Amino acid sequence: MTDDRSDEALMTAYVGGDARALRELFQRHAPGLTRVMAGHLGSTADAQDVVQAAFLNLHRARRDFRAGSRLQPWLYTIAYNLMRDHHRYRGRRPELLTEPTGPGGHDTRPSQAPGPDADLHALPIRRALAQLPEAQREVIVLHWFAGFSFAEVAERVGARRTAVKVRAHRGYKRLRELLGPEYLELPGDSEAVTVQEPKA
Amino acid sequence: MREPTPGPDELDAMFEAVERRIAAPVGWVEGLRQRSTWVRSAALLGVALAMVALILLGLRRVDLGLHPLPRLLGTIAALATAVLAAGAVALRPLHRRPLRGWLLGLIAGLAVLAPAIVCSLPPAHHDHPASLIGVDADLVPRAAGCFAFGMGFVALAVAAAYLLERSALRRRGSAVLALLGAGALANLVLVLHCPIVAPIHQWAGHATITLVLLLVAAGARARGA
Repeated sequence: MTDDRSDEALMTAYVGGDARALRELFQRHAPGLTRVMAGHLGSTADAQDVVQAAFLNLHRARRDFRAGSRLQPWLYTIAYNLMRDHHRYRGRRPELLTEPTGPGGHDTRPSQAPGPDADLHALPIRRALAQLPEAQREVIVLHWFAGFSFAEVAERVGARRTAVKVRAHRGYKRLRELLGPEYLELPGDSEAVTVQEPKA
Repeated sequence: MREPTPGPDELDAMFEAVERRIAAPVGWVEGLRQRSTWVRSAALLGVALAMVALILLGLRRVDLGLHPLPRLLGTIAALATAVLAAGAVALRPLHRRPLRGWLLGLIAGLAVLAPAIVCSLPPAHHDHPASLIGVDADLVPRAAGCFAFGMGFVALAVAAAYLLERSALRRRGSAVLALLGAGALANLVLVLHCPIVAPIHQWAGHATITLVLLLVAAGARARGA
């Protein structure tokens, strides 16, 4: 049976001793978070490890949770911090590169629509993403691969919506340059390009 | 790459693995680490204050009354700020976004530079016999004594940070700031304990603590700890 309590109510219940609340939170957030982490890490197994570690750390930090806090930014910040540690441990720049998906390690499949069907397998996309600054990559993975709206991305990364849109605009612009005309119809442009570039 | 979104069975298996880890017996160290960040920070602050109290109550420098008060307070404020900032960063929980690099650099720089500047100041006074020793032939033994004394406090402070930091100082930023903060704390303790005012003693016996810890931190950073 689906639990219709909010994330925050579930977390408060978990802190209060309701062990089932964590399972419900896991069921809600683990699939999306795994997908986002896979977009960054280029490996489903690594992504699942990070997600499991994120929930374990959510448990360890449960006494820090305060009524009125939003849970999702917590969870995503934990996962992103673990992902950064993962990269440092591996001693390399993030993403991709290590899992070629076709003969000879090349995959030139074009991108697909944003959201759950976006093609994480496409090596050119993963290579291009790896060349973006982390702040832009984080926003684009959440927006494009995970299909979150800018408002939702802002909540997850703990930034203002305007800042997120600026990052997305710059990131998509750079991706278009890196990927070429085949990928001109990148998602998010209609909303992101309306943001004015801040003056230097 | 496999389909990144786990199916129901895979999701259950993932959660059961998390559940097993959570259900495993928790020792007192893990119990400490699972306390709230406020409690952990208060505990670390309590350890630092206990060290300062120990010195002030039992091992206070004999020339304290002769030391110019504004300079003493300024020295204590600079070192205490470095200790507090480094401690706060070392215990920063995983659900908070990483600090910007320039801010981390500023705090690390404060923890390194504050002891160095304090040790480079001209002698505060020459009015107590205990303040005039520790030079020439007496330099090495006195400096070694202060270095060992300070390193003892470093060991205690780093041990406390290790027990209270959730990753057991495996996260690079936490480890580096814990080391540098412990160095600043040791210098604070020495300011309150050691009456020798010669800058050469201060550098050889006090500032070297921070330099050694800086080398250790750089080594840890290079190894990706």
